[in-house]
Amino acid sequence: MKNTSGSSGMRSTVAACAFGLMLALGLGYGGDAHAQREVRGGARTSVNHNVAANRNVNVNENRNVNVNANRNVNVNANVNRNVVVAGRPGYNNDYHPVATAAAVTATAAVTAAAIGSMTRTLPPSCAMTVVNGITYQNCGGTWYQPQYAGSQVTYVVVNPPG
Amino acid sequence: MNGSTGSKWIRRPGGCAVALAAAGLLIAGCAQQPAAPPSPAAPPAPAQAAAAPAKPAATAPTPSQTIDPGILETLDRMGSYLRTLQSFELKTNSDSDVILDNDQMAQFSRWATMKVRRPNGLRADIRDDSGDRKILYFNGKTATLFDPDNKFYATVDAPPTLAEMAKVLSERYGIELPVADLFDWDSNRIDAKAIKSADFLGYAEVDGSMTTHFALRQEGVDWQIWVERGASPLPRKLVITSTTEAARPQHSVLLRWNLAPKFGAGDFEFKPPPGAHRIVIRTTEGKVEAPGN
Repeated sequence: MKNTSGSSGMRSTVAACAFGLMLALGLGYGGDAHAQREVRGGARTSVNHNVAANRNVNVNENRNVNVNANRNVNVNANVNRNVVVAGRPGYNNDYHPVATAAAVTATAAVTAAAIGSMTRTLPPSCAMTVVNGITYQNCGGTWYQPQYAGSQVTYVVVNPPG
Repeated sequence: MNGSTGSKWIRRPGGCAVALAAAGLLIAGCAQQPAAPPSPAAPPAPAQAAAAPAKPAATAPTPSQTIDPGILETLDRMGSYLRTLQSFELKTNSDSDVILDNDQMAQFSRWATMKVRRPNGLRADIRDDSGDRKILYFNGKTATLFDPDNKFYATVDAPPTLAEMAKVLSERYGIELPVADLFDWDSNRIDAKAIKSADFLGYAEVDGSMTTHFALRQEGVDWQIWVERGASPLPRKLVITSTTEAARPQHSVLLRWNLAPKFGAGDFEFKPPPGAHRIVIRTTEGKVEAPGN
Protein backbone atom coordinates (compact mmCIF):
# COMPACT_ATOMS: atom_id res chain seq x y z
CA MET A 1 0.00 0.00 0.00
CA LYS A 2 1.35 3.39 -0.73
CA ASN A 3 1.18 6.23 1.62
CA THR A 4 -1.63 8.34 0.39
CA SER A 5 -1.08 11.30 2.61
CA GLY A 6 1.70 12.82 4.55
CA SER A 7 5.27 12.88 3.38
CA SER A 8 5.26 13.85 -0.22
CA GLY A 9 7.31 11.91 -2.63
CA MET A 10 8.57 9.42 -0.15
CA ARG A 11 7.42 5.93 0.26
CA SER A 12 6.51 5.62 3.85
CA THR A 13 5.30 2.13 3.80
CA VAL A 14 6.38 -1.21 2.66
CA ALA A 15 4.43 -1.98 -0.46
CA ALA A 16 2.96 -5.12 0.75
CA CYS A 17 -0.72 -5.41 0.76
CA ALA A 18 -0.25 -7.73 -2.13
CA PHE A 19 1.67 -9.98 0.16
CA GLY A 20 -1.13 -10.08 2.57
CA LEU A 21 0.90 -8.69 5.36
CA MET A 22 -0.67 -6.76 8.08
CA LEU A 23 1.78 -3.98 8.38
CA ALA A 24 1.87 -1.13 10.70
CA LEU A 25 1.75 1.62 8.21
CA GLY A 26 3.45 4.94 8.12
CA LEU A 27 2.19 7.90 9.94
CA GLY A 28 -0.36 9.49 7.76
CA TYR A 29 -1.68 6.25 6.43
CA GLY A 30 -3.61 4.91 9.29
CA GLY A 31 -1.46 5.80 12.20
CA ASP A 32 -2.60 3.19 14.61
CA ALA A 33 -0.40 0.27 15.22
CA HIS A 34 -2.18 -2.95 14.78
CA ALA A 35 -0.66 -6.23 13.80
CA GLN A 36 2.94 -5.52 12.99
CA ARG A 37 5.68 -7.38 11.33
CA GLU A 38 9.18 -7.35 12.57
CA VAL A 39 12.33 -8.37 10.89
CA ARG A 40 14.06 -11.32 12.41
CA GLY A 41 16.76 -12.04 9.90
CA GLY A 42 17.72 -11.89 6.29
CA ALA A 43 19.80 -13.23 3.49
CA ARG A 44 23.51 -13.03 3.73
CA THR A 45 24.92 -10.90 1.00
CA SER A 46 28.30 -12.45 0.59
CA VAL A 47 29.56 -15.92 -0.09
CA ASN A 48 32.82 -15.38 1.69
CA HIS A 49 31.87 -13.18 4.59
CA ASN A 50 29.60 -14.59 7.16
CA VAL A 51 31.30 -13.50 10.19
CA ALA A 52 29.38 -15.17 12.94
CA ALA A 53 26.40 -17.44 12.84
CA ASN A 54 24.40 -15.27 15.16
CA ARG A 55 24.79 -12.34 12.87
CA ASN A 56 22.70 -14.09 10.35
CA VAL A 57 19.88 -14.09 12.75
CA ASN A 58 20.36 -10.48 13.36
CA VAL A 59 20.72 -9.29 9.84
CA ASN A 60 18.55 -6.40 10.63
CA GLU A 61 18.82 -4.45 7.51
CA ASN A 62 17.03 -1.72 9.31
CA ARG A 63 14.05 -2.19 7.15
CA ASN A 64 12.14 -2.90 10.24
CA VAL A 65 8.53 -2.58 9.39
CA ASN A 66 7.58 -1.50 12.85
CA VAL A 67 6.18 1.91 12.84
CA ASN A 68 5.11 2.77 16.30
CA ALA A 69 6.42 0.01 18.42
CA ASN A 70 10.01 -0.83 18.84
CA ARG A 71 9.71 -4.44 19.70
CA ASN A 72 12.50 -5.45 17.45
CA VAL A 73 13.40 -9.04 18.07
CA ASN A 74 17.06 -8.58 17.43
CA VAL A 75 18.99 -10.83 19.67
CA ASN A 76 22.21 -8.92 19.44
CA ALA A 77 21.17 -5.37 19.04
CA ASN A 78 24.77 -4.31 18.85
CA VAL A 79 25.48 -6.56 15.96
CA ASN A 80 23.74 -4.56 13.35
CA ARG A 81 24.90 -6.17 10.21
CA ASN A 82 23.84 -4.02 7.40
CA VAL A 83 23.89 -4.30 3.73
CA VAL A 84 24.47 -0.65 3.21
CA VAL A 85 20.88 0.20 3.05
CA ALA A 86 18.63 2.27 5.18
CA GLY A 87 15.32 1.85 6.78
CA ARG A 88 12.40 3.27 4.99
CA PRO A 89 11.18 6.66 5.97
CA GLY A 90 8.20 6.51 8.20
CA TYR A 91 9.47 3.51 10.01
CA ASN A 92 10.43 4.01 13.53
CA ASN A 93 13.21 1.55 13.49
CA ASP A 94 13.86 1.48 17.12
CA TYR A 95 15.79 -1.39 18.41
CA HIS A 96 16.94 -2.17 21.85
CA PRO A 97 19.01 -4.70 23.59
CA VAL A 98 16.83 -7.60 24.51
CA ALA A 99 17.02 -6.77 28.15
CA THR A 100 15.25 -3.50 27.78
CA ALA A 101 13.04 -4.30 24.85
CA ALA A 102 10.13 -5.27 27.00
CA ALA A 103 10.33 -2.17 29.06
CA VAL A 104 10.00 0.38 26.33
CA THR A 105 6.89 1.12 24.40
CA ALA A 106 6.46 3.33 21.42
CA THR A 107 5.41 6.56 22.95
CA ALA A 108 7.31 6.06 26.15
CA ALA A 109 10.51 5.69 24.22
CA VAL A 110 10.46 9.31 23.33
CA THR A 111 9.61 10.81 26.62
CA ALA A 112 11.44 8.55 29.00
CA ALA A 113 14.14 6.97 26.98
CA ALA A 114 16.62 4.89 28.87
CA ILE A 115 20.25 5.78 28.55
CA GLY A 116 21.71 3.50 25.96
CA SER A 117 18.52 2.92 24.09
CA MET A 118 18.64 3.43 20.39
CA THR A 119 16.33 4.86 17.85
CA ARG A 120 16.44 5.47 14.16
CA THR A 121 14.31 8.56 14.24
CA LEU A 122 14.49 11.55 16.48
CA PRO A 123 11.63 13.27 18.19
CA PRO A 124 10.77 16.68 16.90
CA SER A 125 12.51 19.84 18.00
CA CYS A 126 16.08 18.74 18.31
CA ALA A 127 19.08 20.99 18.29
CA MET A 128 22.34 19.71 16.92
CA THR A 129 25.26 20.50 19.21
CA VAL A 130 28.91 19.66 19.10
CA VAL A 131 30.56 19.14 22.47
CA ASN A 132 34.25 18.33 22.64
CA GLY A 133 34.22 17.43 19.00
CA ILE A 134 31.35 14.96 19.34
CA THR A 135 28.04 15.65 17.69
CA TYR A 136 24.81 15.36 19.65
CA GLN A 137 21.17 16.06 19.21
CA ASN A 138 19.52 17.69 22.15
CA CYS A 139 15.83 16.98 21.96
CA GLY A 140 14.01 18.75 24.71
CA GLY A 141 16.52 17.68 27.31
CA THR A 142 17.07 14.14 26.06
CA TRP A 143 20.48 13.89 24.48
CA TYR A 144 21.02 11.62 21.53
CA GLN A 145 24.32 10.77 20.03
CA PRO A 146 24.22 9.91 16.36
CA GLN A 147 26.26 6.83 15.63
CA TYR A 148 26.84 4.77 12.57
CA ALA A 149 25.87 1.17 13.29
CA GLY A 150 26.66 -0.71 10.16
CA SER A 151 25.75 1.69 7.46
CA GLN A 152 22.82 3.23 9.29
CA VAL A 153 22.77 6.24 11.51
CA THR A 154 21.18 5.48 14.82
CA TYR A 155 20.66 7.74 17.74
CA VAL A 156 21.69 6.56 21.16
CA VAL A 157 20.39 8.19 24.28
CA VAL A 158 23.32 9.42 26.33
CA ASN A 159 23.89 11.45 29.42
CA PRO A 160 24.17 15.14 28.72
CA PRO A 161 27.80 15.70 27.75
CA GLY A 162 30.25 18.12 29.21
CA MET B 1 40.52 -33.21 -16.66
CA ASN B 2 37.83 -35.69 -17.28
CA GLY B 3 35.96 -36.20 -14.12
CA SER B 4 34.45 -39.44 -13.24
CA THR B 5 30.99 -38.10 -12.81
CA GLY B 6 29.74 -39.27 -16.15
CA SER B 7 26.82 -37.56 -17.70
CA LYS B 8 23.95 -36.14 -15.83
CA TRP B 9 20.90 -34.59 -17.24
CA ILE B 10 19.57 -31.61 -15.47
CA ARG B 11 16.39 -30.11 -16.69
CA ARG B 12 16.62 -26.38 -16.78
CA PRO B 13 13.54 -24.30 -16.39
CA GLY B 14 11.91 -24.11 -19.76
CA GLY B 15 12.32 -27.79 -20.32
CA CYS B 16 15.68 -27.67 -21.97
CA ALA B 17 17.67 -30.66 -20.90
CA VAL B 18 21.33 -30.04 -20.63
CA ALA B 19 23.90 -32.73 -20.47
CA LEU B 20 26.54 -32.32 -17.90
CA ALA B 21 29.28 -33.95 -19.76
CA ALA B 22 32.23 -35.45 -18.02
CA ALA B 23 33.92 -32.57 -16.35
CA GLY B 24 36.42 -30.46 -18.02
CA LEU B 25 35.75 -30.36 -21.71
CA LEU B 26 32.35 -28.85 -21.72
CA ILE B 27 33.30 -26.28 -19.17
CA ALA B 28 36.50 -25.40 -20.96
CA GLY B 29 34.35 -25.01 -24.01
CA CYS B 30 32.15 -22.60 -22.15
CA ALA B 31 34.96 -20.27 -21.60
CA GLN B 32 36.72 -20.20 -24.88
CA GLN B 33 33.99 -20.34 -27.41
CA PRO B 34 32.55 -17.12 -28.62
CA ALA B 35 29.12 -16.44 -27.33
CA ALA B 36 26.69 -18.37 -29.39
CA PRO B 37 23.15 -19.10 -28.38
CA PRO B 38 22.87 -22.73 -27.50
CA SER B 39 20.55 -24.83 -29.52
CA PRO B 40 18.08 -26.20 -27.07
CA ALA B 41 17.50 -29.28 -29.13
CA ALA B 42 21.04 -30.49 -29.41
CA PRO B 43 22.88 -31.42 -26.28
CA PRO B 44 26.11 -29.49 -26.23
CA ALA B 45 28.05 -32.49 -25.04
CA PRO B 46 31.36 -32.78 -26.79
CA ALA B 47 32.32 -36.03 -28.39
CA GLN B 48 34.36 -36.90 -25.40
CA ALA B 49 31.41 -37.46 -23.13
CA ALA B 50 32.07 -40.91 -21.88
CA ALA B 51 28.67 -42.03 -20.77
CA ALA B 52 25.79 -42.29 -23.15
CA PRO B 53 23.71 -39.18 -22.72
CA ALA B 54 20.53 -41.02 -23.36
CA LYS B 55 19.28 -41.24 -19.81
CA PRO B 56 15.83 -39.78 -19.77
CA ALA B 57 15.28 -36.97 -17.36
CA ALA B 58 12.44 -38.90 -15.85
CA THR B 59 14.90 -40.88 -13.78
CA ALA B 60 15.36 -37.97 -11.45
CA PRO B 61 18.99 -36.84 -11.56
CA THR B 62 20.72 -37.29 -8.29
CA PRO B 63 21.89 -34.11 -6.64
CA SER B 64 25.49 -33.49 -7.38
CA GLN B 65 27.77 -34.16 -4.51
CA THR B 66 30.85 -33.66 -6.53
CA ILE B 67 32.73 -30.65 -7.71
CA ASP B 68 33.08 -30.16 -11.39
CA PRO B 69 36.68 -29.03 -11.67
CA GLY B 70 35.88 -27.10 -14.80
CA ILE B 71 33.76 -24.80 -12.73
CA LEU B 72 36.56 -24.01 -10.34
CA GLU B 73 38.79 -23.39 -13.29
CA THR B 74 36.30 -20.98 -14.80
CA LEU B 75 35.91 -19.16 -11.53
CA ASP B 76 39.66 -18.87 -11.14
CA ARG B 77 39.85 -17.51 -14.65
CA MET B 78 37.18 -15.04 -13.71
CA GLY B 79 39.24 -13.97 -10.71
CA SER B 80 42.37 -13.63 -12.79
CA TYR B 81 40.53 -11.57 -15.31
CA LEU B 82 39.12 -9.30 -12.64
CA ARG B 83 42.63 -8.81 -11.35
CA THR B 84 43.71 -7.45 -14.72
CA LEU B 85 41.14 -4.67 -14.57
CA GLN B 86 42.96 -1.64 -13.26
CA SER B 87 39.92 0.57 -13.32
CA PHE B 88 36.30 -0.24 -13.63
CA GLU B 89 32.90 1.04 -12.81
CA LEU B 90 30.38 -1.53 -11.71
CA LYS B 91 26.68 -0.85 -11.45
CA THR B 92 24.69 -3.29 -9.41
CA ASN B 93 21.06 -3.86 -8.71
CA SER B 94 20.39 -6.02 -5.69
CA ASP B 95 17.28 -7.61 -4.31
CA SER B 96 17.54 -8.98 -0.81
CA ASP B 97 15.18 -11.03 1.25
CA VAL B 98 14.44 -10.07 4.77
CA ILE B 99 12.68 -12.57 6.98
CA LEU B 100 9.67 -11.33 8.84
CA ASP B 101 8.68 -12.71 12.16
CA ASN B 102 6.10 -14.99 10.59
CA ASP B 103 8.81 -16.44 8.39
CA GLN B 104 7.44 -14.63 5.42
CA MET B 105 9.93 -13.03 3.09
CA ALA B 106 9.97 -9.41 2.14
CA GLN B 107 12.20 -8.18 -0.61
CA PHE B 108 14.09 -4.92 -0.59
CA SER B 109 16.16 -3.46 -3.37
CA ARG B 110 19.10 -1.23 -3.78
CA TRP B 111 21.34 0.12 -6.49
CA ALA B 112 24.99 0.91 -6.38
CA THR B 113 27.63 2.39 -8.60
CA MET B 114 31.06 1.27 -7.53
CA LYS B 115 34.17 2.86 -8.96
CA VAL B 116 37.40 1.01 -8.45
CA ARG B 117 40.87 2.22 -9.25
CA ARG B 118 43.47 -0.26 -8.22
CA PRO B 119 45.24 -0.77 -6.05
CA ASN B 120 43.44 1.12 -3.36
CA GLY B 121 40.77 3.46 -4.67
CA LEU B 122 37.13 2.70 -4.21
CA ARG B 123 33.99 4.77 -4.18
CA ALA B 124 30.54 3.31 -3.91
CA ASP B 125 27.38 5.37 -4.30
CA ILE B 126 24.51 3.40 -2.92
CA ARG B 127 20.84 4.07 -2.97
CA ASP B 128 18.12 1.87 -1.59
CA ASP B 129 14.47 1.63 -2.41
CA SER B 130 13.51 3.84 0.47
CA GLY B 131 15.51 6.65 -1.07
CA ASP B 132 18.31 6.44 1.43
CA ARG B 133 21.72 7.24 0.00
CA LYS B 134 25.18 6.52 1.23
CA ILE B 135 28.61 7.06 -0.26
CA LEU B 136 31.57 4.96 0.77
CA TYR B 137 35.12 6.18 0.08
CA PHE B 138 38.35 4.25 0.38
CA ASN B 139 41.78 5.61 -0.42
CA GLY B 140 44.14 2.99 0.90
CA LYS B 141 44.33 4.54 4.35
CA THR B 142 40.84 5.28 5.57
CA ALA B 143 37.30 4.38 4.73
CA THR B 144 34.56 6.97 5.08
CA LEU B 145 30.85 6.46 5.05
CA PHE B 146 28.89 9.57 4.21
CA ASP B 147 25.18 10.24 4.12
CA PRO B 148 24.58 13.09 1.71
CA ASP B 149 21.16 13.79 3.16
CA ASN B 150 21.85 14.16 6.87
CA LYS B 151 25.52 14.94 6.15
CA PHE B 152 26.80 12.64 8.85
CA TYR B 153 29.98 10.82 8.11
CA ALA B 154 32.25 8.40 9.88
CA THR B 155 35.85 7.73 9.02
CA VAL B 156 37.78 4.67 10.11
CA ASP B 157 41.29 3.42 9.57
CA ALA B 158 41.45 0.84 6.83
CA PRO B 159 44.04 -1.63 5.60
CA PRO B 160 45.76 -0.80 2.34
CA THR B 161 44.15 -3.31 0.00
CA LEU B 162 40.62 -3.61 -1.34
CA ALA B 163 40.19 -7.19 -0.14
CA GLU B 164 41.36 -6.48 3.39
CA MET B 165 39.30 -3.32 3.55
CA ALA B 166 36.19 -5.22 2.48
CA LYS B 167 36.84 -7.75 5.21
CA VAL B 168 37.36 -5.13 7.92
CA LEU B 169 34.26 -3.22 6.93
CA SER B 170 32.25 -6.41 7.06
CA GLU B 171 33.64 -7.98 10.19
CA ARG B 172 34.44 -4.99 12.31
CA TYR B 173 31.70 -2.60 11.29
CA GLY B 174 28.99 -4.70 9.70
CA ILE B 175 29.18 -2.79 6.44
CA GLU B 176 28.94 -4.88 3.30
CA LEU B 177 30.10 -3.61 -0.04
CA PRO B 178 27.69 -4.09 -2.91
CA VAL B 179 29.47 -7.20 -4.17
CA ALA B 180 31.61 -8.00 -1.22
CA ASP B 181 32.97 -11.19 -2.76
CA LEU B 182 34.47 -9.37 -5.71
CA PHE B 183 37.73 -8.62 -3.97
CA ASP B 184 38.05 -12.15 -2.68
CA TRP B 185 37.58 -13.58 -6.11
CA ASP B 186 40.19 -11.39 -7.64
CA SER B 187 42.74 -11.89 -4.92
CA ASN B 188 42.39 -15.55 -4.06
CA ARG B 189 41.96 -18.72 -5.90
CA ILE B 190 38.62 -20.24 -5.23
CA ASP B 191 38.95 -22.40 -2.14
CA ALA B 192 37.98 -25.81 -3.39
CA LYS B 193 37.93 -27.16 0.14
CA ALA B 194 35.09 -24.88 1.04
CA ILE B 195 32.92 -26.04 -1.82
CA LYS B 196 30.74 -29.07 -1.25
CA SER B 197 29.33 -29.33 -4.72
CA ALA B 198 29.32 -27.40 -7.94
CA ASP B 199 27.14 -27.93 -10.96
CA PHE B 200 27.02 -26.46 -14.39
CA LEU B 201 23.44 -25.62 -15.22
CA GLY B 202 23.91 -24.62 -18.82
CA TYR B 203 24.19 -21.44 -20.76
CA ALA B 204 22.00 -18.56 -19.89
CA GLU B 205 21.47 -15.09 -21.15
CA VAL B 206 21.86 -12.35 -18.59
CA ASP B 207 21.29 -8.77 -19.56
CA GLY B 208 21.94 -9.54 -23.22
CA SER B 209 25.17 -11.48 -22.70
CA MET B 210 25.65 -15.20 -22.79
CA THR B 211 26.89 -16.69 -19.59
CA THR B 212 27.63 -20.02 -17.98
CA HIS B 213 25.38 -20.67 -15.04
CA PHE B 214 26.91 -22.46 -12.06
CA ALA B 215 25.32 -23.59 -8.85
CA LEU B 216 27.58 -24.16 -5.87
CA ARG B 217 27.05 -25.29 -2.38
CA GLN B 218 29.09 -24.40 0.66
CA GLU B 219 28.56 -24.51 4.36
CA GLY B 220 25.60 -22.32 5.16
CA VAL B 221 25.15 -20.99 1.66
CA ASP B 222 24.09 -22.08 -1.79
CA TRP B 223 25.16 -19.71 -4.45
CA GLN B 224 24.75 -19.29 -8.14
CA ILE B 225 26.89 -17.29 -10.46
CA TRP B 226 26.54 -16.45 -14.10
CA VAL B 227 29.91 -15.89 -15.72
CA GLU B 228 30.07 -14.17 -19.08
CA ARG B 229 31.26 -16.37 -21.91
CA GLY B 230 34.00 -15.30 -24.23
CA ALA B 231 36.94 -13.00 -23.73
CA SER B 232 35.69 -11.28 -20.61
CA PRO B 233 34.70 -13.80 -17.96
CA LEU B 234 32.94 -11.30 -15.76
CA PRO B 235 30.37 -12.16 -13.13
CA ARG B 236 27.05 -10.90 -14.45
CA LYS B 237 24.66 -12.20 -11.86
CA LEU B 238 24.94 -13.63 -8.42
CA VAL B 239 22.33 -15.28 -6.26
CA ILE B 240 23.13 -16.21 -2.69
CA THR B 241 20.77 -18.40 -0.72
CA SER B 242 21.25 -18.66 3.01
CA THR B 243 20.73 -22.25 3.98
CA THR B 244 21.16 -21.78 7.70
CA GLU B 245 17.70 -20.30 7.70
CA ALA B 246 14.80 -22.62 7.06
CA ALA B 247 13.12 -19.83 5.17
CA ARG B 248 16.11 -19.80 2.79
CA PRO B 249 16.27 -16.11 2.09
CA GLN B 250 17.95 -15.01 -1.07
CA HIS B 251 20.10 -12.14 -2.14
CA SER B 252 20.51 -11.55 -5.82
CA VAL B 253 22.68 -9.07 -7.68
CA LEU B 254 22.76 -8.04 -11.30
CA LEU B 255 26.12 -6.66 -12.39
CA ARG B 256 26.79 -4.24 -15.23
CA TRP B 257 30.35 -3.45 -16.07
CA ASN B 258 32.07 -0.44 -17.57
CA LEU B 259 35.67 -1.34 -18.18
CA ALA B 260 36.64 2.07 -19.56
CA PRO B 261 35.35 4.41 -16.92
CA LYS B 262 36.14 8.09 -16.60
CA PHE B 263 36.90 9.09 -13.07
CA GLY B 264 36.87 12.60 -11.65
CA ALA B 265 39.92 13.90 -9.86
CA GLY B 266 38.23 13.93 -6.48
CA ASP B 267 36.16 10.79 -6.85
CA PHE B 268 37.98 8.74 -4.25
CA GLU B 269 38.71 11.39 -1.66
CA PHE B 270 36.02 12.49 0.70
CA LYS B 271 35.88 16.20 1.40
CA PRO B 272 33.30 17.10 4.02
CA PRO B 273 30.87 19.57 2.50
CA PRO B 274 29.62 22.55 4.49
CA GLY B 275 27.34 21.39 7.26
CA ALA B 276 28.81 17.91 7.44
CA HIS B 277 29.33 16.38 10.85
CA ARG B 278 31.70 13.62 11.70
CA ILE B 279 30.05 11.17 14.06
CA VAL B 280 31.09 8.09 15.95
CA ILE B 281 30.72 4.58 14.65
CA ARG B 282 29.86 1.41 16.50
CA THR B 283 31.65 -1.81 15.86
CA THR B 284 29.79 -5.06 15.55
CA GLU B 285 30.92 -5.80 19.09
CA GLY B 286 29.18 -2.68 20.30
CA LYS B 287 32.28 -0.61 20.87
CA VAL B 288 31.97 3.01 19.96
CA GLU B 289 34.83 4.51 18.03
CA ALA B 290 35.07 8.25 18.24
CA PRO B 291 37.09 10.56 16.06
CA GLY B 292 40.57 10.98 17.34
CA ASN B 293 40.63 7.59 19.03
